[in-house]
Amino acid sequence: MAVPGTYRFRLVTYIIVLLVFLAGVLVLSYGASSQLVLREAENNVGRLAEQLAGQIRTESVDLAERARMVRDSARFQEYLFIAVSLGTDATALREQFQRQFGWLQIDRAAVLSGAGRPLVGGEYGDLREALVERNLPQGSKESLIYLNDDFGIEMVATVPMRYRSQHLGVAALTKRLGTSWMETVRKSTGGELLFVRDGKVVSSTLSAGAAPAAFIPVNDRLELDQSSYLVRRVPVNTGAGVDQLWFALSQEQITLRLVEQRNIILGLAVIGAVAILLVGLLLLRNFSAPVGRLVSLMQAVAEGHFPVIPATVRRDEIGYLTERFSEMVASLRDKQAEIDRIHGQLAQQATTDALTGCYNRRYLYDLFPKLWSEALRSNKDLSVLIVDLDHFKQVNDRYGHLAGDEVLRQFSQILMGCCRVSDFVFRLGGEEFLILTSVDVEGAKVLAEKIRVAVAAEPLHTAEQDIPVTVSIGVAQAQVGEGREGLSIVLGRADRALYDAKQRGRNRVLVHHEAQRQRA
Amino acid sequence: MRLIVTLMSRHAVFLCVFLAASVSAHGSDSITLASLKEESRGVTTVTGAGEHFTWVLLDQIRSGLERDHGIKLDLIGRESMLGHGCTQGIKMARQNRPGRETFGFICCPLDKAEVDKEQLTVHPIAREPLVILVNKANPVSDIPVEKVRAIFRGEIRNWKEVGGPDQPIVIVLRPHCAQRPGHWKTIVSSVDQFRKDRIDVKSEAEVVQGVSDFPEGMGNIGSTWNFDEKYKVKVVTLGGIAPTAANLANGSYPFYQEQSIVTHGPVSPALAGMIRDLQHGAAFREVAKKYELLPLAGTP
Repeated sequence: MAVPGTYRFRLVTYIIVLLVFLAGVLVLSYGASSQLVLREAENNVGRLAEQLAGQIRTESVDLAERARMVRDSARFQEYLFIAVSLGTDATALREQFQRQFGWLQIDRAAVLSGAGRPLVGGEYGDLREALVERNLPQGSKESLIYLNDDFGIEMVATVPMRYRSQHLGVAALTKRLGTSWMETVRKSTGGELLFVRDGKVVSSTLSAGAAPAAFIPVNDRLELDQSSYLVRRVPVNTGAGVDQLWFALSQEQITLRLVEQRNIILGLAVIGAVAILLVGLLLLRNFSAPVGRLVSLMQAVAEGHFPVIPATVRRDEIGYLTERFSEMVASLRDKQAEIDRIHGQLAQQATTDALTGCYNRRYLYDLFPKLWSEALRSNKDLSVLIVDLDHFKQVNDRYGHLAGDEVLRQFSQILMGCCRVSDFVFRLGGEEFLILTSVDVEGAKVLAEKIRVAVAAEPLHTAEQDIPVTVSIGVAQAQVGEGREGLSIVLGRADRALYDAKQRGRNRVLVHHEAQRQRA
Repeated sequence: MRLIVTLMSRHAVFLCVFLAASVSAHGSDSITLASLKEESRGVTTVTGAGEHFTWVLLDQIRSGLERDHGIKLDLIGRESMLGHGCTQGIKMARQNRPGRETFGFICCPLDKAEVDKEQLTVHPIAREPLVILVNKANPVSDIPVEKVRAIFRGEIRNWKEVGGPDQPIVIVLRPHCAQRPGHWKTIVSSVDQFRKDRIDVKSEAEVVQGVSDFPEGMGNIGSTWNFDEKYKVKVVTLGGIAPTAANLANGSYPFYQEQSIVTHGPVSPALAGMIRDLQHGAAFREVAKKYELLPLAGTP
């Protein structure tokens, strides 16, 4: 979970903002595209109608060109001339036409003599009638006319036929804008075609049930039972009495395009959102997460820990920062270890005697209250032994201070050798030592006697001679009720016992209460 | 050194241009790669074109001629609708070169002025009957000679006048070689005398096609034409006289043309031998008999 104000939080925020922005763009663009598609659809209907008109004009030009091919064929002219001038059977002419022009892409062909005699295409009575009705067999000019039938409009290109300046008749080629043509247009444009005659739909590409009987568009729109169409008249000059051709584009088609547009936008938006999320995740993974780890490490350092940071394989800025930080933490760790070592040394120097290695008097004052409190809490005993070398001044005087120091060192070793691990040995000063032991006075006495015997058992060895020494030991036990001032009290008692031991000839152990009793 | 290289490279360019021009010229002479290969084996390639009549004759004895004279015979223009005729034959003959020999077929005896002008040698081959064709549907099978001429002149215009149905007569004419003697001039002596309302065509194939198209049609053509079943035509006799070699020889059949081969300049012994064989050989005589031809050269 991203904490506000953190970089991770900002990243997540930015990603959310981007996603919201993307969604907004999606909604706006969809709205805009909807308007665009609807507007474009209206323009498109007009454009398609114009294109259709252009296509029909092109086809009419092609048809006229084919008619001219017939007109300009010298062989066909000869055959026609023979048929017309000699009145021969037209079979030869028809066969010649088929041989020469059978490949032409036309629907019907007719050749009439100037008198209207059908020489080619005699089976097309309606076509002959239309040509004769317009006096085209006698005409001297090319023409393009349109005919109606119940299946659409038929373009008819006519050319006058001549042979050596003699007018022979007319040739007419037709191209039907019929069902197949309409279906082709329908497939290519996606719209519908309607032939309208006298306000009624004669034929259309609409299914039989969908085609309206009456054609009454309102504001270039045609409402049918189940659909609405944008309609435009195809501007072809077919002449009066000939069907009008209308182009219609279904509202459903427009909606379909709209849905397609929406799907495209949606697809792009999804791709964009996924891309943003991926980029965000990559940012979090590659930037925010390492920064978070660095922050955790810094926190640990701030708390006094100096963790070992694994080497990173990253070669970017974060990797460089981690490496530098790792080096810094390692340096701090080394410094801390040095400080700890020096601190240890200082602590040892503050609590021990430099000559004998025993604890010093300062440490006694620090330690005794703790030991005493512990003894009181756990109902244990705590006894004090004050140990003093007999006639040590004479050792110094006689063997020198170096020998004296050596005697003190060996003597302290004997003391620590006789004590348990849990006992504490202090040098109070000069040749006077103190032992704190968690036993009662009897146990302390046994320890004291053990020390006395050990010391007296053999002389201490210096470099030049052996020096026989003895010790006197005063023993006392701390008493409940002596409170926090118990140290001075028990030291006093042990010191008086020592004094008594010295007075009684040295090399002896005296327990305070025994010495007190003997004194009494 | 640089000068030599420059000269060599320039000559190489000229050589390439020359070779390209040569290949182009040979291509126009219809000398094919196959014929070049034949030449490399010592075989002379002889190319002939022109009136289809000679083509028919040569094609039928081609293998014997090639074998006997060591030549490779290329023939151009069989049943063409493009009007290969005497003019094409003369053009082909004039392309004759040593090693690239050519000759032409012609259907009429050229006059001396044209022979001199074109520097040609005419080798007469045979006299060929001009047959009168009518549509198969036409019941007429015989027309007297003068009525044939009258029909072509337009004086008779309906088949009923010659015993046929009451139908107008349609003339299909190939008015070729108008400036040369012979051929259709044995029927009507000049183009102007033919009736005007006729169908003019450029090849003999079109004559056959035209007569086949019109049930009322009539035309003329050499007897060597291979009449295909797809054409609805038939040959009529002239006052009971059939177009045969015998009738040509005795003068009772009046319509004919004289077929010849023309050459230009000196010809190789192989080509000369081939022409001689064509004029006098037994194989040719067999073919001539088949087509009712009257050989023009005597027995050697």
